[in-house]
Amino acid sequence: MKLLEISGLVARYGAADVLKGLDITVEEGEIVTLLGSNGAGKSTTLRAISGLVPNVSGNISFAGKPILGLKPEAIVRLGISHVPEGRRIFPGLTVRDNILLGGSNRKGVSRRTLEADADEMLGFFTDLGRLQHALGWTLSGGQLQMVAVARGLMARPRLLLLDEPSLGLAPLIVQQVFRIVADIRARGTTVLLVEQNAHMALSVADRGYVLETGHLLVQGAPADLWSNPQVRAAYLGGLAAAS
Amino acid sequence: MGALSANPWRGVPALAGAILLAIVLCFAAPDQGYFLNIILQACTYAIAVTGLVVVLGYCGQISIAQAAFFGIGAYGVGIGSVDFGLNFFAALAIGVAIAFVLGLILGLGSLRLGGHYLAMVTISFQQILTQVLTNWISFTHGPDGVRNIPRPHIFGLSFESGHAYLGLCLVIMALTAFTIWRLKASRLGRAMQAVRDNELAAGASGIDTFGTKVLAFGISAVLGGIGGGLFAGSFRYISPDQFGFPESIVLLTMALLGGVESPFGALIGTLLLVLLPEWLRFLRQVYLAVYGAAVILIMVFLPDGLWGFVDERVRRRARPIEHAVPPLPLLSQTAAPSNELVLAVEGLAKHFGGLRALDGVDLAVRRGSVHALIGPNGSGKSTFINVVTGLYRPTAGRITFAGQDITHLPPHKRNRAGLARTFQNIRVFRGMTVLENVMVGAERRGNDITGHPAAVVQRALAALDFVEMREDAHRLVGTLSYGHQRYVEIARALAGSPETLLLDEPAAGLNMTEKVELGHLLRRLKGHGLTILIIDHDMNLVEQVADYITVLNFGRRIADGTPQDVLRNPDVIAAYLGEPRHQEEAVA
Repeated sequence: MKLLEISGLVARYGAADVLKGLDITVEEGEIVTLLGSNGAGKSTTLRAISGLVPNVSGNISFAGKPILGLKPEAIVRLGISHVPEGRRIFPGLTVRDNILLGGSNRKGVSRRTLEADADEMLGFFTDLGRLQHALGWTLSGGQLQMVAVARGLMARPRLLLLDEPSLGLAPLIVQQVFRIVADIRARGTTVLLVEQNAHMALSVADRGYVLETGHLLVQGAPADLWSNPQVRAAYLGGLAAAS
Repeated sequence: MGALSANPWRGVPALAGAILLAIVLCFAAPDQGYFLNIILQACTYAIAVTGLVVVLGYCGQISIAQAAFFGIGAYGVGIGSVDFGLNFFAALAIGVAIAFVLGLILGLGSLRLGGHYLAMVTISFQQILTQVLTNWISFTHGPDGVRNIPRPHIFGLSFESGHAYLGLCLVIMALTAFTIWRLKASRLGRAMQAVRDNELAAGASGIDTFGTKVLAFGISAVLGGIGGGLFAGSFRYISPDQFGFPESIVLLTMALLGGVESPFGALIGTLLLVLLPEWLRFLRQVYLAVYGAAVILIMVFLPDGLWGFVDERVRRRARPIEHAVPPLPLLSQTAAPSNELVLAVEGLAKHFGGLRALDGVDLAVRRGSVHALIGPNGSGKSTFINVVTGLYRPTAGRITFAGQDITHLPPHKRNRAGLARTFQNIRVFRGMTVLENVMVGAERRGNDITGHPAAVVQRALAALDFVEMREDAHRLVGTLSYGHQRYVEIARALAGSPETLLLDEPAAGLNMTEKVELGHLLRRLKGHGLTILIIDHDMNLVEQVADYITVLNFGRRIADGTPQDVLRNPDVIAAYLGEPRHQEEAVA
């Protein structure tokens, strides 16, 4: 079943078109990754799905229902959770409270369930368990990123939008994060992943889309993208990194 | 709307035109009466509001005491010319000088305070001045005020008539607006805007942030004083209630309404707020309510003020890129590679309460080398850079840079010694263009081109060429993607021709091809003899560029040496890498 269907998406910041008619579909239960260079429009696509871009046109439907033009909070309630780039953590709250806040869209769920889910998140990210009573501002950059991912997962979304979850994380932690992404899907959540670390992203994804300055360059299975010479040269580090 | 200050005659023809127009207009105006008073009030207020453009619009420091400086200037003229019989201009100069000194003193408050705390200090200053003017009756005449203030006579010229005095005020207003407009594109103006947009990055780019803020308060007070002095001559009578807290709020509203980032905004805002009540008078009882509503509506729908709205539309026009300017070679100051230590850190410790972020770290960086600092998240790498660049004071230890002990220097002095940096969570000056951002870096004191505006532009363009961003020179930096903002940060650091460059996670947010390009860029920099200390989690990049690697964990050094040794060290694999190197690529 098509969970997310985007067609002819155009987004504009100021005078410039950032997206120029993008078509993307995500099936229920898939991990789909968006790749491309800086400024290609990957983050803008996620922000448009979440209702955070004011000037958009085209179509976005989620589970068969058009969502373009809905307010961000309405979109979250439909089951789309967005973990934005750049760690927007509440500095004056503890790690645990930051994570608990991620569940605030879940109406009628008991405090105990939320606390149990938060414990599960703290178990996922072992470093956070140790830091659960630390205030947000005391964390290092990588720790903040982990809190942001954990907070996004607390919403128990049907579709999780992850914007560069590996940004600024140590290699050991990056490996953890991608294991968790695979676990999230195993538990039934669909994932749309924007990532610069194409190695990692393509190792967990079912399909990938490569964007170039606002439109689709190519799409396909990870193996096809790997072997596409154009994609390799432009986005995967070319032959130099593979040797 | 040039970002470049290289042309010394920029705006001068417009100024000459404005002065001519002022002289023509003042003869068209009535010689006395209500209308003349309104125009004189708008004109003198506008000069004071231009002061707020400097302190609030350029430098980002809120001041709710502009009416106090306006009052000091007014009382300088009033008391000086009436009680002491001084010439008008001598009395004005004394009033302005007092305003300047008190402005500097008020600015000293910005050392420890910012935001609303600083605003409260300025309000207190305003209240104290009102008390002094009201209660020091023997000197200020108290609530009775000062009467019969003369208008100036100098060199046989008399400004006694309404025409002549209005002409004087208009000319001074035009000169003020011109000067403050030129200030924005000057080195000092860019320093102020850098402080406004990102104080930490400004300090790290060699700007004395505290001195800049104090100076902004001083300049603002001078303009308040000049406006006030002319105001005293306009009405020939002043009293304390004309310079109270409500007037400070009115001046602030004028600045915000017109657009606080430009002196033209100040003129428009002042004129509008002075004239609007006149236009609305036909509404009789409800006119104050309509006036208030109009101000609120403008604020809500044009948050950047009237001029900000106009300016944004002007900015959208594409601007030419200076292809004609020959780039100045970068890195002219760097030396040949050698074994000499350029940065030596011994026993460095930084404790936050009970947390030992750094716990006795030694590190030695050789001239011309690329040294990588790696370690798990939270191991103290960014803290290390922040202590080395002076953002944090170390708990213990010693930092030597190019033979000089810099342990206790403030950030801007370390930058001036040749230590440049980029930030992990990008710190660019968001209100400025790409080129202006990089010019701030080029203008650091101690750079070989400081004081040559044309060379500063050339060096900034050369740095943009180096990171291949010249095409974006006139874009506002906030509209760029994350990765491109990183390149702007690197260009800003490079433009200052640093001796050593500290890069905090430069590859974060770049895709793999861009990382390879960054690697080439770093090698080119190394080829020029630049010393680099880099923090990054991308081991491909680190392996590609680093000569030495130091590994931190829990604030301590756990390994140090060549990439071959360090990346195979079992402790490093266990704490940081997770899997041995070269397995990951097998996926491909």
